[in-house]
Amino acid sequence: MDTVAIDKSDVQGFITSGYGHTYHAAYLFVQLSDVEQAKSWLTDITPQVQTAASWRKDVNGNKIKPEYILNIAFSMAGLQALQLSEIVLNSFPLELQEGITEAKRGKLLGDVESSSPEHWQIGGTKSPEFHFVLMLHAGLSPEDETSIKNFTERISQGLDSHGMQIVHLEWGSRRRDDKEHFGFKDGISQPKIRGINQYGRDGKPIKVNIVNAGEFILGYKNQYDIHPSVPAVPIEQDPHDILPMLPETGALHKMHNGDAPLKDLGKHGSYIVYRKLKQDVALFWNFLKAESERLDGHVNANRMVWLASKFVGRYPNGDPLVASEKEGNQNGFVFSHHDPDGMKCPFGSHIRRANPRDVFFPTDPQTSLKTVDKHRILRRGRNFGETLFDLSRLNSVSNTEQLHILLELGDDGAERGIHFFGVNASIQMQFEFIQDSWTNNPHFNAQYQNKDPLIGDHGTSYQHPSYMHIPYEPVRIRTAPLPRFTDVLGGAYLFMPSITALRFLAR
Amino acid sequence: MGFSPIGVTVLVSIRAGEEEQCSEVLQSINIDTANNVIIDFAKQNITHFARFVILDDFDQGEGRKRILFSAIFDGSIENFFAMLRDCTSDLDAIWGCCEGYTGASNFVQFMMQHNNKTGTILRGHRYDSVQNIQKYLALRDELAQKFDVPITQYEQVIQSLPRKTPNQVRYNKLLKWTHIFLRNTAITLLILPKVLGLLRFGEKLFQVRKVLNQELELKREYTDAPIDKSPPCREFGDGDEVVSQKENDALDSFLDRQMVQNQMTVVTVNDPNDFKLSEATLAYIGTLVNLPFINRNSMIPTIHFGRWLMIDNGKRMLFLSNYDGNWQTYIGDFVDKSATGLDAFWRGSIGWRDATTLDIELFKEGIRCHQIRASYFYSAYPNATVVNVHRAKALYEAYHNNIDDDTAKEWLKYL
Repeated sequence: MDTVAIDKSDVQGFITSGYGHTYHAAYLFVQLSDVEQAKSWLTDITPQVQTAASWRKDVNGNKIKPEYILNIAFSMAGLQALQLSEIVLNSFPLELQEGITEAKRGKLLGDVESSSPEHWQIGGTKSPEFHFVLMLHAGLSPEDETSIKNFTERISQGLDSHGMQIVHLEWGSRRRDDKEHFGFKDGISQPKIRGINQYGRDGKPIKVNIVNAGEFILGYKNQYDIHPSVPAVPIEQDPHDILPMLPETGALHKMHNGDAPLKDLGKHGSYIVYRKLKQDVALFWNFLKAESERLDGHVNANRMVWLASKFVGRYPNGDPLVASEKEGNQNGFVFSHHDPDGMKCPFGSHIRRANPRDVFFPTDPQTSLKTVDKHRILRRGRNFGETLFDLSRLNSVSNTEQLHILLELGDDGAERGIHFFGVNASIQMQFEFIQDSWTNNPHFNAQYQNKDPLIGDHGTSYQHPSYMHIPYEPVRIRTAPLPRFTDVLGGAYLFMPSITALRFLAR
Repeated sequence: MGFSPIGVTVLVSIRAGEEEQCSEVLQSINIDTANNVIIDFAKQNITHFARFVILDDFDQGEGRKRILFSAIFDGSIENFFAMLRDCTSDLDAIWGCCEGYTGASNFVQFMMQHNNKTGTILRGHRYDSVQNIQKYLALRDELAQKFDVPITQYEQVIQSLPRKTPNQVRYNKLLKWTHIFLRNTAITLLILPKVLGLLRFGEKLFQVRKVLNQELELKREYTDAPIDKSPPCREFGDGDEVVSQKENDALDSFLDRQMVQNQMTVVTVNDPNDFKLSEATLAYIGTLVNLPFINRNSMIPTIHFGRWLMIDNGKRMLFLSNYDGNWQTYIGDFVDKSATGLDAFWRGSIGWRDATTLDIELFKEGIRCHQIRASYFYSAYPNATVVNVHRAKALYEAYHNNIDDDTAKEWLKYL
């Protein structure tokens, strides 16, 4: 199992890399009209798609970092528009076939009321249909906004000349300190892919936090130690013999296809979840201000940051509330040794829900990890909108005076938040599972009426209120009922094909 | 037995032609109470869970349907059916469409006649009545509110809680353990005949043991789940109630999150060749999990109650459960925590492949395609998980028996 060899040049780089060296991104939601023209464009663009292949090195041995990065993922409507046959379309997972806006998914994902798909700007029931998304990354410094603008312009022209229309364009960026809008460093904990992330920064083989490739890349064994089912194409529908054969195992594979062999459309591909999440920064800090007053009898900025850190599970600079095994490593910690009862990092906190690590009630640490590793996700996010306040003020929590900025935050009406992209081999087992069973589950990990304080679907009309519970001496602190701090403005379930599959789609 | 909640599973055929009307009545129970049938389960408050499901009735002929009524409750079966009769506003509206129903006066007998014996029951709440569970939860909420005060006042609230002297605490503990010991002894004595009764399965018992002792092994590298997701599921056997994946994915019971709890009804067809073994498995596990002292019966922490039973003279098997959270988590828990035990239950079903429970996609497909939607579902404590109940109980017991200065802070962690 440890010797998986993955053909990285066939995997899109978006799956394996967050492109941390780039600071700007553009997301182009595109509608095609003429299939032949679209396919011709796709043929041209495929060689330009960034793959996961290791970056080349210059004469000094330094890696040459790509400066203009393009990746592509298709919606179900897009696969239909490219005229894939019914049998091929039916082989995609049901969640992709039905789409993120399917009515029953509202409650499952918490996309209800103010976050309902009917209000979405992108991918919603009332927003224009798109067929694929281009993820562009460029700009090697936060100041360099020109690169992404030029890159986007160049790509747009190509689309335009092939009769395609950008129905929606979104800009994203990241900060040098990687903070999101509430003021906390984000994107610290990411699982490592077996066969891809072989060695750590110290050059030693990675042994912890490593997950089977099949959790993120189709065509490999997942954490259940089995190859999951993949989208497939009957052999006669691949006349140019582009796709690899699907191994002829499993009686049910051919169930609805007579005895004809199938080809593997999924291999080296993955599924992408897109969410445009709006953060109400003023509401967040003002709620904490009121809580501080309620708990202490007076407003206290340090208490506000303390509460916020308990909500997140980290300090604003990203340091975990639980001591790391190694100094400087913000992700090198488990809960069983240092915090089994949540006195440091509450069970209800964001990071302890998104990744419960080795304390998952009621099982032992090893079983907990085993279970948790079946539901991990790779996150590829960028911020949008201007920050509401100078986030660097939160860098030094001991500097109380700097924190006073939190006392006077008012809503400026501007939209800000995160473009969230999740990479997973099964949207149902990973993204939807985490969203429903962990994030929005008020009883997750033996809790009582406590959803994810940051991104939970609090305050819906049909559910009990959700509170944040913070273990404390002599008795836990329970906040007032939480309002919804994060709303959904857009979303999509996408298929990110391999380079080979892209070539197939372009024919 | 009088100590634990028990279950009934009534199956009655609906008269030909009345299927639709009957289904409508069931779906409107307790909705718009001015115009529809009301079943006031809370009135006597002995019912933990109840459900109505419309099942196919292949044995009666094409298109025929039957009612499945299932419930978990405290006390005796006769008493429960009498309660059901008395708390239903219009008994005839529901049961009048069923064959053999002659009216309220014979209702208890009618239900007893059509009740099916439970093979295995797993209990998340082993010895707790509905009313006790509700008491635990109410105290929990009351205490939670008491502590919604500024941090500086926490100590004050703690001091205001009722105290017991160390001697009282010691006495209460002794009383509690004596009670548990006597209860468990009594249950053991009552179960003994059942344990001896297992001998009737003879050598099959050894086979069951062998199956349960061997760790399940997945001998294939690729899932056997169908690639094509849209047509109806494959049938497992004659008279199999398959539903298409798409159809069942849309069920409220699959995705609805209005309630903390959920329920599942699964009907599979038994392979006659394996029937004896399946029956022995149900009896064996069903007896052993209920042995006090030995078994804690908590292998899956999300099950309130789970039951397997043979119906239709052994032709089919029914699985009924009340569980926490969503369908995905529940099935995932099965696979993670007791794949071998679970596989033993279904390995005798037609079409069930080797080590299905380890092939998560295939297992889900198998369950999903045999799952039947409930028309009506009742829970006496809909906002609590099994774990919530257990913790609230610990809190309750501590609060009433055990608070002295040393222990006050210890039990407050359950809040």
